[in-house]
Amino acid sequence: MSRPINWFGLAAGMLTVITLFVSFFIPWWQLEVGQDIMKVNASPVNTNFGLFGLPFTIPLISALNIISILLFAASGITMLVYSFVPTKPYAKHLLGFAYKKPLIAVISFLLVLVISITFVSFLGINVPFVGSATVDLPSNLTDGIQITASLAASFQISFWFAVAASALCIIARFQHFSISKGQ
Amino acid sequence: MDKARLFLILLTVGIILGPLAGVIFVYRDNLAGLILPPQIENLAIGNYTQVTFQPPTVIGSPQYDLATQTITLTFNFTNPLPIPIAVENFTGEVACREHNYLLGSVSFPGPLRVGASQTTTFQLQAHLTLDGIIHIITFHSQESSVAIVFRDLNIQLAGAKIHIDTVDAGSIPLPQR
Repeated sequence: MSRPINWFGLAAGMLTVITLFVSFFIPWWQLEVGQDIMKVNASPVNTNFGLFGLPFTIPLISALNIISILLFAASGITMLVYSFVPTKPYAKHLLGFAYKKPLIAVISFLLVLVISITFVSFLGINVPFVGSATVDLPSNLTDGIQITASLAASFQISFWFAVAASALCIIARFQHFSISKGQ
Repeated sequence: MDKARLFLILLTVGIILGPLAGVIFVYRDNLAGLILPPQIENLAIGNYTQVTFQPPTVIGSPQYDLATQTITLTFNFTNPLPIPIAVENFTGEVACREHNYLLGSVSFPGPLRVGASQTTTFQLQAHLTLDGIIHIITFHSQESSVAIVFRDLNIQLAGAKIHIDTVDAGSIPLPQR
């Protein structure tokens, strides 16, 4: 008799680990101001900034990135383990731990992004969520000289990986009902 | 299986609190440094000394060529960045400072690449318009030079456009009769 496997859970676990790996190299969302005037590479896993070509990070955000890396890794591995033992008594605890985290990461990331962009707009700089725009820098920042910079913002492939991983995790949760009922 | 649940809860708490406690411990003497790295702090307090972006500045006196009716201006531009950048376009008008009268427009020969942390010198030419020449003859023919300004200056560099209303550009010597 073959052992039941939650295939959606297996796919979700694998995609969560892949998302984690890809997110190290490709940000979820990227903003470019001019040519290397400023760059924002944002993702829950690796957020960094560039100002006039000089890269820098914010220590608190780096700590939050480490938390996300560990949670993503724990979620993916737990989901992989769960998918091979979906009928064990502790399976629902493994699933409960694993399936929400990618979704929480995606929702939290979008929330922080919206709040950050709204905050920056209060400073007089309208940053697009997606697409291109030009922005006049506030004159108090530029010694009265009028500076207009081009902005380009876009979601990257790693963000869509995370969305897909979240969707698979939710499907795996529903699949768990079917497997449980089958027992 | 409560042990599994307890383990997963403790794992989550440990993952969240560990890095946070670590970074707070490292920055315990400078908690502001948690969210304000030196680069942001400098910008916040208006200290741009690390990267001072100055528009190109006129050096020396502009030269006036009577035969071609052109004014040649020499500029200095320093790229403060550790990366090369390009001055993509440079437009502006030359005007008489005393009367704010348009004398001619500046032509930019083409993109200018400036290496990382380097200073370069380049020349621009402003061709005097007929009205500009008539203005000089009418109002300044008794003088040895005409003070000029750059106005409506638009400089496109590094993907940004810088606009400056007026910049003093020195004086052009006039041929004596």
